[in-house]
Amino acid sequence: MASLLKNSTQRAVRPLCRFRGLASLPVYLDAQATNPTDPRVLDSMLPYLTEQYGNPHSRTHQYGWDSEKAVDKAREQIAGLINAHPKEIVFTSGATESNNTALKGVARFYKGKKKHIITTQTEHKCVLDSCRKLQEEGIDVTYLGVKKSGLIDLEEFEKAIRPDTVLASIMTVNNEIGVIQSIEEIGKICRKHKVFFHTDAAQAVGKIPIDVNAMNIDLLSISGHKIYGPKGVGALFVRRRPRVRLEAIISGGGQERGLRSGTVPSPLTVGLGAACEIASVEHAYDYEHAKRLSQKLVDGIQSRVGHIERNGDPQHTYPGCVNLSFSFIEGESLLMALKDIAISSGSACTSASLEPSYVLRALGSREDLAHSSIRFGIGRFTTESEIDYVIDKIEHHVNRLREMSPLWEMYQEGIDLSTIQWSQH
Amino acid sequence: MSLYRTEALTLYRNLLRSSRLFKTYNFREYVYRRSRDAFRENKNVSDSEKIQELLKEGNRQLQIAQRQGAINGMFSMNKVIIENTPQYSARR
Repeated sequence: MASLLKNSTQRAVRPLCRFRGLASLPVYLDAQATNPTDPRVLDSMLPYLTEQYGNPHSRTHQYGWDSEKAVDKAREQIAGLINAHPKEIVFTSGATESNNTALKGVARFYKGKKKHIITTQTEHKCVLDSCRKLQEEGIDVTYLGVKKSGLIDLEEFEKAIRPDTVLASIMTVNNEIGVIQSIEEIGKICRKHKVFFHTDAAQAVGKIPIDVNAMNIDLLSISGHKIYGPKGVGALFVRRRPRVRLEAIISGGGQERGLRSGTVPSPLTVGLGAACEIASVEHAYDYEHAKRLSQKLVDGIQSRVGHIERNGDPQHTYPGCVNLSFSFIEGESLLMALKDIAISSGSACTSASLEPSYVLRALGSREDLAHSSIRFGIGRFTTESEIDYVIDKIEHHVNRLREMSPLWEMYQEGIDLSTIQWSQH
Repeated sequence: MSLYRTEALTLYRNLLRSSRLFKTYNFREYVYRRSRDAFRENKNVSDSEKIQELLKEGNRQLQIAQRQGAINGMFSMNKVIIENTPQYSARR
């Protein structure tokens, strides 16, 4: 017995796996789907997952007070990143819940007086689906189209505003093509017409500078895991002056000013706060890194493969999101060939379907190009060597697939593909 | 000045060394690159108050890297494909 005890105490820490490196992981280039949790974020969270487990709403003992203090600090860190007041931050389970709360909350609260919402065709599924739900409840929704660049037409937007328009919801950075909308101008128009302005900034916060006051934003959705924080947490900024009122979706203990009942997950909020604080220090450095690697990737593919098209406006785009269409081949077959690279043809939510992306179709992309698009996501932890590897792999497989493609053969023979009449099935 | 120089160089060496604790390729490379760039960016800082502030922050980051490197080492199980391909795995 004694020797058994001795043995088990001698070996201090046993790693989860002793034979490391047997399998190899693909190169991760899907930064718009999710990102790894930053080790600095995990470091801030661990005390709250181990010793400091108190319920932040417990007012009668130290466990509760400590957790509450941590949650309040996280609130300040998030508010600091977007120039808001800490009291304007509501914790949610993620950007999907934030978007749902913002859209349904505002629409249902003001339903008696105003019942029109404006959004765009290129929004994330959760915004579009919330709008569909509201339409069933009798709310009018205008889905604005976008220009070829992916940007909305500001004049068309202003014309779409009606006397009974309560809310406009337009995302900051698009999750599929990376296009950055002119948030400041949209904010001005909304303020002028006294329309609440909500923006889904899940892909934007921490990556490009955002100031809710300078940009006249009334509601803003934040996601934790897109900014190197933990999954399962997000936040919604709700302006206090002029006050935006919401009807809560979840009923319960009245936490988060009654807007989101349920115990606030203190470890997750601490992680989100830390992620925001890191982002406010690091965003310029991260942006330069993404820009440099993005340039390298696009130039490398362009010079070695050719016949590619970048989807979305090249100027008003976050460089960490590169959406390319490869002519003469199918995106899905390229994705299958590139199994050593973790990429996708669009958003993760729709990656199971073979349908071309609705975002690319809204841009007016040709059907064949929408079918051959691939999104590359570059983040804080992407390395230059990974980009070298990806360019080499793309060159190899695109050339191989084009060799097999009848379309490529026809193109080589000088046939204009757009003149072909395809048979209908 | 030289007083801080020794301290800064020790910190720099320890930070670069701490990157090796991370078994996960992308974290290891990031800790290395971020430490290197931070020291390059601040190498001409001469204000002693500012230097002290930077050293304090650097030491805080070192502690985080050492803690998280140890944890990462226990849970990281696989290599990224390019680590097994020498032509890509060389650091720049």
